[in-house]
Amino acid sequence: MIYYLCKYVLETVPGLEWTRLASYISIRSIVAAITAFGLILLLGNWSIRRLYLSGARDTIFDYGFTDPESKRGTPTMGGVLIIGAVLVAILLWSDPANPFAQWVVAAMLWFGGIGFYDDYLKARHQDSRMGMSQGAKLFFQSCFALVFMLFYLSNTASPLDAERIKLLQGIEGVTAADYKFWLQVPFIKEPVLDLGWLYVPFGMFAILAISNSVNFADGLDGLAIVPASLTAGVYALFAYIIGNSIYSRTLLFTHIVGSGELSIILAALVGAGLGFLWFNAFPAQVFMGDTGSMALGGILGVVAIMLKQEFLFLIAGGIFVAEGASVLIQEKIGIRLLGRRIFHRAPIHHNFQHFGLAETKVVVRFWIVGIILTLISIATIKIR
Amino acid sequence: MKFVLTGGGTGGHVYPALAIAESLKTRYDTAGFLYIGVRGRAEEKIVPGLGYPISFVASAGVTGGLTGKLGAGLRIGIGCLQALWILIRFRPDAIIGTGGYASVPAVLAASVLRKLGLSKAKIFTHEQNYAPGRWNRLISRHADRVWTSFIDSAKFLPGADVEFTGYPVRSQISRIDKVAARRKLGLDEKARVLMVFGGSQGARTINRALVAALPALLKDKSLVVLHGTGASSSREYDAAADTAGAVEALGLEAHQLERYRPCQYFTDIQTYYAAADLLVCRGGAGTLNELLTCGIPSIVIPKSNLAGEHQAVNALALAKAGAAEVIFESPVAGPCGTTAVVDPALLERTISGMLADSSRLEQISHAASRMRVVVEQSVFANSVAAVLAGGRPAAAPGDHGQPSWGNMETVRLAGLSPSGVLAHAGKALSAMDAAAVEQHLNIRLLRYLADVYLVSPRWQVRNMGVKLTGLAFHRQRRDLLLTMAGERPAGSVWKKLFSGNTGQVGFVRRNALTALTRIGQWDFRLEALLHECLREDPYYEVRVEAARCIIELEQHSRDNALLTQCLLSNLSHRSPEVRWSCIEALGVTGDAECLVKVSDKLALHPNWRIRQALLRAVEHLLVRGVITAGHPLVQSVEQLIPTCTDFNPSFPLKRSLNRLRQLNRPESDKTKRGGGGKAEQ
Repeated sequence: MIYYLCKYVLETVPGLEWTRLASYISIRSIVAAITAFGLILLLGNWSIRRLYLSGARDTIFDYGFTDPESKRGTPTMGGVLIIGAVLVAILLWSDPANPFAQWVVAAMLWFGGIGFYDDYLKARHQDSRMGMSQGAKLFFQSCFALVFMLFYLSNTASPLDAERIKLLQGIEGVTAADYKFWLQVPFIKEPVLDLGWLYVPFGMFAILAISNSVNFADGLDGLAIVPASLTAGVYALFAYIIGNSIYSRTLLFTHIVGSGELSIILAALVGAGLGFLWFNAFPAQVFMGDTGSMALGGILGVVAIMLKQEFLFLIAGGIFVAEGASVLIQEKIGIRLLGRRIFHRAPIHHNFQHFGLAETKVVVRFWIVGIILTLISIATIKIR
Repeated sequence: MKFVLTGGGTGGHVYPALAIAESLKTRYDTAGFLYIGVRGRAEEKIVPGLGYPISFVASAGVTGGLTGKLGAGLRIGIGCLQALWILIRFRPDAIIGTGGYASVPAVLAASVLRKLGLSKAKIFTHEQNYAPGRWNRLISRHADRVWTSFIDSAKFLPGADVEFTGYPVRSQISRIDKVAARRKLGLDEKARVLMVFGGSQGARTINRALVAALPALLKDKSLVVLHGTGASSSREYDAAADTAGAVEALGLEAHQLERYRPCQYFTDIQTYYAAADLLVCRGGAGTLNELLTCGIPSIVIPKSNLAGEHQAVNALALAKAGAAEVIFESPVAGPCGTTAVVDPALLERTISGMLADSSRLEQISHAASRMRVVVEQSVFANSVAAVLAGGRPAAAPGDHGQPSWGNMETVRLAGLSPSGVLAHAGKALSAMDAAAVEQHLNIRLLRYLADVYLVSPRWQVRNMGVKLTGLAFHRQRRDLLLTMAGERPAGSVWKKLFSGNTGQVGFVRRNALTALTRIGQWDFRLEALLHECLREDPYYEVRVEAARCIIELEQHSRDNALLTQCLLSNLSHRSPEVRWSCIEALGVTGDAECLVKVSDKLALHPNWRIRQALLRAVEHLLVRGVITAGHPLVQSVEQLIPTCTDFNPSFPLKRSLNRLRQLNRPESDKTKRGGGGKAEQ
């Protein structure tokens, strides 16, 4: 809204040229981040109280590492706070007519909604087993993923339609119209593979895998929010470059007009994440719950596909990949099929706790790994 | 008046239908009957034999995998169409279903016809068991009235019009004079007569156990065995032929064979009941009600793995009242996994013991007679007349002097899924010691369920059986646990690659060791198993559990050089958990020597849990008196790095809250009840 207001003022009222600042994506990104951060800080204590009084309290499934009484009763569903702050920041600072922004908001609300319902069921029964079944969650997630992928690859309503794509010079065999069917990989500047309609199952898998692995990572105080913010930061940088005609040409990215708007949303997410960490740092005053982890995962999944940087997630979101893969291997292959544990514990952060690391230590080490992975991800911008 | 009777699959569903038909005959002289059943099942033989016309429809029990289930669904669908056609032509006034999958098509078809307005037939169903099965619950939703054999059964049928009637035993089943019955069957008056009967379709485990016990049994020259093998002649088990072959293979002498009388089916069963001194049978509601009516002493062998384990519940109820003896099928480890069998030696011992003690037989017979509920024949006819006339709801059940057939908790427990049973047992038993477990109300049922799970083809269920065995201190299965944990059958190369050459999956082996630790008995077999697990088991948790077993059973495992060797070989295992468990166990089995060699390295190990294990091991040595305070080992341990990367958080606010709650207990209880206690969670 402020974006439109400034644009209007700039055109009509002489002497207020400083409003031009709002047309710069970099400035809007930073302001959006500060807005979201400030909102959470301002409303944090009040909303934590509201959450507690409305019965949103955690009944954590205890793995036997900490005193069972130690975390029970902590307010949960803090994801509502993140979603709210990001939403306000987007409404204030981004262009609501931008299709990239619209899809991200849709994903955030849909995935956040699934997580909210799951949290609601758990809180109502005060039993972590009474949430939605794994199948139901996957079903609703795939509904969104399918609709999104069909729109994404459609001729008329795709955010990546032909006039938005400015291909790199010297690339042959790819046209702007079917760029959306092509796969891009880190370290290689050309699109590598034309997936055709196989992009639908591939994209669905990517969205489901990303959103669920963020969910698995949300097991210790501050473990999900910091790596999620770092990953969002990496994607914000990529969105800024890909959405900028000059930088994209210099750094040999295919320019996608309008995708710069994503960097505002992701920056708002980073700001909200830092604000949330204020309260979520060990010992947590609030958990994000599935509401938060699903919404974060949904946003990251959709962004990764719209920027054609799905494989970047393997690096930037390496922590989530490790968490998700460890759970999948442990549960599906080990416990279901072979009848034995493959890792000592899963998700992987419980493994470290089992070997005698305190929760705080595990979390900080994961942050360190996350920062290193972020640095590597940023290096891929140049190494291509 | 025209009635359709339906129900079957087994005799237990057919006989009640026929008993109800007899009741209806007394009131409606000119009534016409038609029986709808499934070809090839019990009803095909029984129903025409008693002079009722029968039509056949397709149906099948929903069992097995996906293909089995789809096939059954298809057959039931076809059966419904067939039943529709039969009902349209016969135009009955009422349909009486007695359960079993054979009754499903006819009842569903009748309710469809009623919905379409093509028929006004009333639907009645009769429930024989304490807790209604899946089909009967489905059918009772379409019924105008549900008759039950137990007062409590109404609890399982919400919304239905339920009337307690009792179990209708066939009118020809009654007490006949023993002497007359024996004369009719050509039996000596002084003979001891054993009747063995596994139901209309036959029971494989009972037949095989009996045949195996025959040589020993027939040594008693006065014993006559009447054996109803059952009419089952399916591809996988032909009861009569299988039994005949097995008996021939025994090579019995002529005078012994003379006293063994097999037949497929007892057509005049009441005479046999009257002639018998002792009955060996299954635990279905039908058979049990018949034997209670006749007051025959019996050995009940319940069929396992039924819905809600209702035969086991029935049998335990009778056993508790002293009205029967129970033998459960028990698991035995065979070449291709564990199988359930009836132990022939146990069967033989129980039979000869009971036959030799006539006063005990008398007691059992007396108790059995007391348990019987007498059902007046007119009950069903009156109920049908009432519903046909205007259909006011059934009156509240009067007290028919119903004896207690087990309590609600037992039935509930038996009806739970394996994981539910395990959760229940975990809550109830895990804190108890062996003596307290022995006194537990449902311990026999729990041990029986453990036996059932142990023979499951699915390892997930077997695993729960192993856990339950340990929780219930089921000592009879200790040998089986030892076998399961140590089994090393020759497997395929693939299997060896993935899970080593073990017979059971890792969880089963680990939990078998946990159960053995809980049972706590020490012998050379357990010791050998521990060696084997520590030396070659491919799964780290098994080794951890073996080390824990050594620590728990300290008084037996201490100063054991061989175990020490095994533990030392694990100090470089790739799993740190194995390492720290084995280091601690070394303090139990070993001497100072074995630890001195490694203590310097362990005391500086980066992982504090390894350092802690070293401290614990030294503590064990000190407590055992192997070393004294000034020992160099204690000195070197003093050099250990004392930092620890883990800690237990302690929240002062929560401590204050807990203290306040303790002071305020009666108050807080009140608020909890008033719904204001939410904050306490």
